[in-house]
Amino acid sequence: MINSKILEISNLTTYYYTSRGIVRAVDGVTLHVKRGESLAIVGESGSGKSTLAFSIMRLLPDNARIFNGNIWLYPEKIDLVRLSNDEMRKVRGRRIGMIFQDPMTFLNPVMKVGDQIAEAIMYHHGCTKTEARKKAVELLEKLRIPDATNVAYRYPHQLSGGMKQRVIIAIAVSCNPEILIADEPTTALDVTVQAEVLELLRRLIHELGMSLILVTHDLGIVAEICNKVAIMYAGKIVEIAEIYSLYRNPKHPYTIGLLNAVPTIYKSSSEIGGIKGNPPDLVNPPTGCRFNPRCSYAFERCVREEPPLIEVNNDRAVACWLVV
Amino acid sequence: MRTYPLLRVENVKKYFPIGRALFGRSKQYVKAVDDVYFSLDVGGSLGIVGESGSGKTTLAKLVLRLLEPTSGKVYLDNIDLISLSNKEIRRLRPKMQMIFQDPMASLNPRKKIRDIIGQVFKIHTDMSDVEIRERVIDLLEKVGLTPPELFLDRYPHELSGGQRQRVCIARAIALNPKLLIADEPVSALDVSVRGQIVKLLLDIFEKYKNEIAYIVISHDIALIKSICKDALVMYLGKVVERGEVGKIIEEPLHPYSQMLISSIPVPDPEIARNRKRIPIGGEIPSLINPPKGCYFHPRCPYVMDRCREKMPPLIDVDNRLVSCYLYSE
Repeated sequence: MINSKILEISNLTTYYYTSRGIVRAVDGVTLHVKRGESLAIVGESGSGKSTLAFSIMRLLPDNARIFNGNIWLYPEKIDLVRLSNDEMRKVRGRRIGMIFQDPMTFLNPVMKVGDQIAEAIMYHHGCTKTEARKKAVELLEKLRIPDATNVAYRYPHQLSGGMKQRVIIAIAVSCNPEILIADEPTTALDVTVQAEVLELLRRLIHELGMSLILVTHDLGIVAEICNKVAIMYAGKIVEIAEIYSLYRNPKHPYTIGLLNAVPTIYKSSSEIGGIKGNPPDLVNPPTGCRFNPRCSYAFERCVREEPPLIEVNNDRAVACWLVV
Repeated sequence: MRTYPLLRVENVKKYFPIGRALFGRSKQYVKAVDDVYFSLDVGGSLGIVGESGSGKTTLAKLVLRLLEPTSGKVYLDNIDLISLSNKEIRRLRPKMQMIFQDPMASLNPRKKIRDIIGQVFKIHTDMSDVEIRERVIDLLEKVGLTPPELFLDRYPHELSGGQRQRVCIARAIALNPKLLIADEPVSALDVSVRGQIVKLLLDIFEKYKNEIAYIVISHDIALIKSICKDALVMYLGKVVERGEVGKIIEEPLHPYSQMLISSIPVPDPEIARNRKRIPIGGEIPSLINPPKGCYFHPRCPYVMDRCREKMPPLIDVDNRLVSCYLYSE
């Protein structure tokens, strides 16, 4: 069943209710992920990319609500938005695993790491503690952790940042989920460690045949491991494309700006652009296209009317009046 | 004509004692910066690259004497900064300024922008309030906060991250410093805003190139490449390679530089998936008990017997300094 959909998000809207008003963090997002595909969701802080990831996992804080839309998990086409908490708990970990940004805040500081991995295996497979522990050590070995038996008996604070992130990955993949969501998995790590963790992720999703949803602000990481990219701006997807064509031929002015704003080792300083202005406040987003106040191509229609996400060819959709 | 460099750093070391016994002397040290030397002329620019724990920020603080070195000398304009008293060094502070990573943390949240920038003139000059206001307006314009009148009476929390960093830059250049150090100036900012700040820094450095020298500290060699001419690659408190940034990126000599550069994610899938990769082994060792010999040898793919015995000295290779036995006879 290659090329079949595994997850489909349709018109998803997640709002936060704050003292300042309603924050439209995810505002009508539609996309799908195919089996074995690696999709990147790229955006700046406040673009709603993490909210989107947490909405799929239904791990939103108390003041957030999924207001509208569906998240279908295939092949049964169950709607995650409408599952009860008990049913959702069986999906989390078992069918969708998640890796978080800061490994230290998501590991239990007073529990040995081996036991933390075993816990998930016991819950979902109902095996004994001894079996689960054995599996945990096997997993750590698979993640190329030297001296895995010993590491399993250590506490999180005794491990380095890269090691801790590998433990988090081990927990996330312990039940062979079909989808792995990684929210800024390497932001807290040093470059050389980051390269190692990325390599590991790439190998793992290939070996286990998982689909990956990578949430990040870093277009460099995306180029290393993903094959499809969705660019988010102010709660909306502005462009979605196959990876090679996105980098070679970005269409949305925001995507172009984003690619120019980051210094790279192959770029001269004169090539560094930048996008004027700042990301908008999502309590009061601009009318029309949300990027229009920062866009150098904006014209009258952009302020008046919001551009829909339109498919321009097989592997690309863009939300911009210039492209229509 | 001056015959000496603007900044001269001579063999500075900073050892932090740890685990001090009651009454006794500490037995263990963290060698945060170990025997670093370089000099910088007016118009010169140096990037300090390294991962966390490499000692790059400690080095910057030593250069500005925000920390006392364990040994070594720092000369600014031929003045020995280390021997100065606190009072004397305070008088020199306007000549050396720093821009920090997190602009929110380096601006007083209870002061208006006019006072944050105006304060430096109050402390270091005898300008009148009217003159100060004029200077502040002029500075805000220089860093692109226009119209300046709109920003004078705002507080830091009313500005965006990029605007705050602009205020920090305005404050740093207020008294015409000779040496400007920027520590991770864009890493706390939104991706789309980073480009603006990089451009602003480039403009400012270009405008003052006949007066100042600057140092940029970052874990990101791509950022260094876009604003500095030379770079110094640090690993566990030691300089492993020094030279022109472009050359280091094109052909890194030290195995650590090679590993660092091949680990940088490149926002271009074609390059990213076809370039040569240096296999990465192990993790950064602890600074408390660094490995014997070359600190990099446990992770190095080219390790030889010699590397395990003695730290290689910095030697001149092709207009570059490298600390690696691969390049000595």
